[in-house]
Amino acid sequence: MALDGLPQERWTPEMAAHLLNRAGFGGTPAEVEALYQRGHAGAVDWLLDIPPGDGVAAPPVWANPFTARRDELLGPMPMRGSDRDADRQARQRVVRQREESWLFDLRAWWLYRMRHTTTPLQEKMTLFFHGHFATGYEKVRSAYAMFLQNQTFRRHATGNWRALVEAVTRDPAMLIYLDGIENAKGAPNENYAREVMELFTLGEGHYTEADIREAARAFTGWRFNRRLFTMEFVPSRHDAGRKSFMGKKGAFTAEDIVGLILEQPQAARWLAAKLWTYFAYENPEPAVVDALAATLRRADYDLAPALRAVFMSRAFYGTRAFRTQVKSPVQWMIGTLRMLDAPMPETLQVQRTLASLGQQLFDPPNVKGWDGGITWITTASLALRYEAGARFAHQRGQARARDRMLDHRETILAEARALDLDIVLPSTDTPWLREASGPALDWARLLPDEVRHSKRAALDNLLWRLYQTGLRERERALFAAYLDQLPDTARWTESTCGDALAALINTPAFQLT
Amino acid sequence: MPNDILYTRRDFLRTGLLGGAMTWSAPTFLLSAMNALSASAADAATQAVTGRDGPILVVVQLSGGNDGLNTVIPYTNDFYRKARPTLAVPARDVLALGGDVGLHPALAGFRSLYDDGLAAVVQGVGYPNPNRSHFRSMEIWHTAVDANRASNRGWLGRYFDNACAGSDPTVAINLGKENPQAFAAKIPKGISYQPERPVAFEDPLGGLGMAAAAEDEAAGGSITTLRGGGGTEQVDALDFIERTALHAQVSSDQIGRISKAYTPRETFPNSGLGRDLRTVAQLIGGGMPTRIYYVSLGGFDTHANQAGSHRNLLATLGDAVRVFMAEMKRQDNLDRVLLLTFSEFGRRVDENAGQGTDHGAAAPCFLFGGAIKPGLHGTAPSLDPSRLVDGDLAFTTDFRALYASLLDHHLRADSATILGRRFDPLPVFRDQPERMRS
Repeated sequence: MALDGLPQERWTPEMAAHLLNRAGFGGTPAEVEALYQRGHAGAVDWLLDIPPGDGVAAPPVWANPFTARRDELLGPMPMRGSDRDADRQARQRVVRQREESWLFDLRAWWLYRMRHTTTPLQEKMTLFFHGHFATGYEKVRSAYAMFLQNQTFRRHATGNWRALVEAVTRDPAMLIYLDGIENAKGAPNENYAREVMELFTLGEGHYTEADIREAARAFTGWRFNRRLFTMEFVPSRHDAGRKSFMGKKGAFTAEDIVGLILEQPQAARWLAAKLWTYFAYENPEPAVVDALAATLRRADYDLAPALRAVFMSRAFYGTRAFRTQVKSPVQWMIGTLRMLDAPMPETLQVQRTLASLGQQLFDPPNVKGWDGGITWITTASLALRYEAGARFAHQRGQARARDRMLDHRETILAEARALDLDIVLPSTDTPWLREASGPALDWARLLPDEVRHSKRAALDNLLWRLYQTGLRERERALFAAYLDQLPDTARWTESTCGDALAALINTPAFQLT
Repeated sequence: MPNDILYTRRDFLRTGLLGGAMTWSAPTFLLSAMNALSASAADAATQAVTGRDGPILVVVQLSGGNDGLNTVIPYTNDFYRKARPTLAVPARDVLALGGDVGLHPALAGFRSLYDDGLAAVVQGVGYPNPNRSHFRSMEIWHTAVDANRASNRGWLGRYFDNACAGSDPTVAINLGKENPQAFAAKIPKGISYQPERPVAFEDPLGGLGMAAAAEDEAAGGSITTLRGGGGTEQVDALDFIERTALHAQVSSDQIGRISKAYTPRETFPNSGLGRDLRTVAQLIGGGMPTRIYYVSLGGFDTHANQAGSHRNLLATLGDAVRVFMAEMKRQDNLDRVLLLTFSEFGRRVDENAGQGTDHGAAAPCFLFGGAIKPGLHGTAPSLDPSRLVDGDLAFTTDFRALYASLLDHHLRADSATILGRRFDPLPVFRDQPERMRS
C-alpha cells in the first residue's frame, strides 16, 4: 500500500544518511553511522524523541522579558518614519537599527541552533513552519515578535496541528503581517482570513469568496497589546453576529472557524501533501497523500504519528526521494557545516550569503513562503553558491566580516549617544558569535595522515563525508581526474585541501540531497 | 532599507559589475566537464550576437496587486469618492489625462511620457472569473491560460519555444533571484541576473569534449516535477541544475563583455527599480541580443494605511520609467523598445476599515515606447455599485488581447500559436490596423 513500511533488512547506512539529511540537516559520517546502528525504527524514535530544551543555546538575553530591559523590549516599535522633525527621524533611525541588530542576533542564534542541535527534527520542523506560516520582519518590524513566533513553532514542532493553527491565529507577528490587528467589526480586513485557508490549511479552490468574508468577520476583535506583547480579545470590536461558513451557520468565533476548517477532509490532505513534499518529494501520489491524511485524522492532527509514518515508509527511501531534493540555501549551508563538523562562520558572512541565495530567515519573499525545489536554482543563485562554497572552503573573508559587524555596532552606539538615547544591543559574547573566532576547518582531522597515503584514499574519505548517499560513477571519475592534477596528498597544504573541497562541493550533484 | 549592514553597496561595487574573480570557485576543468554532463544541455549552443536591432520587451511586474483606481483615477466620478472616503485623491491633485480620468500625483514621470506621446494606458484589463489569490492570479497572468485551467508553461516561455529556437539562454533576462513563471518553457531559456551580487563563471565552455559522456545511465532515477504549473511534467532536478550551470557559464561571459561596452548617459534614481532599469538600459545600449527583460517592483499589497506607501511606490515607478525611456531615446532605441507594466489584480472598490484596500480584479496596464499609439485605450469599467462583480470592477479588456498585440505587432510572433487561440489584438500600435479580424 501507499505507506508501506521499509522492510527492516533493507535499512542501509545510505538510508540513515538520507534520513538525517531530510529529517534534520545531516551530520558527520560518525553521526550517520551511529544513527544506522540504532536500526530503522530506533533511528526514527531517536529523531522524534524531543526532550524540552536541548541545552544547545539559550535564547538571546535581549529576548527575555525577565532579564532584558522590559521597557525597551516592549516599547514602541520602530515606525516607517514620515515625521519631518529631523531629531525625531534620527531617533527613529537608531531605534530601527537597534531592532535590526536584534533581528540579526536572532538569525545568528537560530542558525547556530540548527548547526548544533541534538534534536534536529525540531529545528527542521521550525523551519518548515516558518516557510509555511511565512511572516516577514520587514512588515512586522519587531524582532521580539519574530522571536516569539519562532519559539511557538519550536514548541509545536512535533505537537498538534490544530493547536498550532490556533496559536498562529493569535500570534502577534502573524497578525501584524497579515493585518489581523486592523480587522474590526463593520469593515473586516480579509487578508488573514484569505491566507489561512488558501495557504495554511486548505489550498486554493476549497473555499468560496463568501467563506473568506464570513471568516474575516469571525476573526474580528483581536487587538495587539503592546504592554504584554500578546493579542487580546476585545468583545466590542468583535462581530458577534451570525455567520454562514462552509455550509454551517452560527455566531462563529475564530476558534470555531479553525475547527470548521480542520473538519474538512481537504485540510488533512493539504497538510499531508505539504509534509510529504518537504521531507520526501514533490507532487506525491494521491494514494500517499490520502494515507498520510488518514494518519493525521486518526491522531486528531497530532504530528508525531504522521512524521513517523513518513520516515518509516518505503516510499521515503525510494527513487523518487533519494538524492532528488534541491537543497535550500539553509540546508546547503548548515548541512555542509554539519558534514564537515565545521564551526559556524562569521554570521555577517553567513547572513549575507543566505540573503543573496534567496533565503534570508525572517524575510520570506511573501506570505506563500519560499517556493523551494528547482526555484532555488537560477544562473545567478547557482553562481553565488559556487562563489560562497569556494569562500568557505578557503575560509576567506571572515575577519573582515567580523570587523564590519563590530564597526557597525559602534556606529549605532555612537549615534545613540549623540542623541542621548540609552539602547541595548545584543551581546557579542554569545556562543553563536564566539564560535567563528575559534579554530576553523580542521584539516588534520578531516584528512588525517592515515588517509593521506594515496589520492584514492583521500578522495574516498572526502566523498563519504560529502556524498553520503552516493554519487554517479562518472562524477567520481571526474573528481579522481581532477585530483590527479594536484600534488601528492602528503604534500597538501591547507590551500590544496581548500581547492579539493571547493571542487567537490561546487558541482550540480552537491546541490541535491 | 532594513538590515543596512547586510546590503552595503560598497562591498558589491568593489568587485565591479561582474568582476568577481571566479576561477577559484571551481576549477575550470571541472566546471566545464560537470556542465557538459547534461545531455540536453547541447541545445544551449551560442548564436552570433545580433543585438543592435530587433524588438525588445521590458516587463515591469507590480507585485501585490496595484490599486488601479488610485493609479488611473476616475476623479470626476461620485461613486469613486463615496467608495474611498479617506483614500480618494482630491480632484485638484490629479494629473488629468482627459476622458474624466487622471493619474495619481506621484506619477509625474508617467505624465511627462504621456505628454510626449510615448504612453498608452489600457483601461480595465483583467480576465473572466477573476481569482483574488495573489499567487493564483499571478500564475494566470504568467501562463495566460483561462482562470480555470493550469499550464506549466509561461506565455513568454511559449514564445521562446515557438519563435526563439536556437537562441542564447540570454534571450530573456530576469533581474532578480527567481525566474518568473512566465519564462517556463519546454527548452529552458532565460537567465536570472543580479548585477549587485557580482558573479561570473570565468570560463566559457571549454573544448573538453565531455558532452558525449553525458548520455549514459541516469543513476538514482532522480525524478522530480516542475513546480507551479499544476501539471505533471517530470523534470530531472540534476539535469536542470547542470543546464543552469552551463547557462551561467555561457552568459556571464557575454554579459560581462557587453556591460563593459556601454554606460547609460541618463542618471537613474537610486531605487531598486531604478538600478534594475539602469542595468537593462546598459545591456540594451551595449547590444545584448536579449528580447525580453523582466523586472519587478513589490509592495503593492496595501491592505492597511495605503495612502503613503502607495504614493511612494508610484513615485518610484514613475521616476524610474521616465528616466529609462529618456535613456532609450538617447540610445535611439525608442522605437524598438516597449515597456509594459502589469499587476496580478487591482483592488476592491470600497476601502476597508484600516484605510487600505483588499484584493480586487480589473486594473489598468501601461505601455511605453515610440511605436505605441499614445493615449487612452479600452473602456474604463463602471463604478456603479450595481455593475460591480462582488464589489470589484468588471474587466473590459482581456489581458491576453494585450499580449496578442505585443506578440503579433511587436515581437513579430504568432500570438494564436503562443496563446492557444486568437484574441483580437488591441490597436495599441501606430502602424497597426484599427481592428484585426479573427
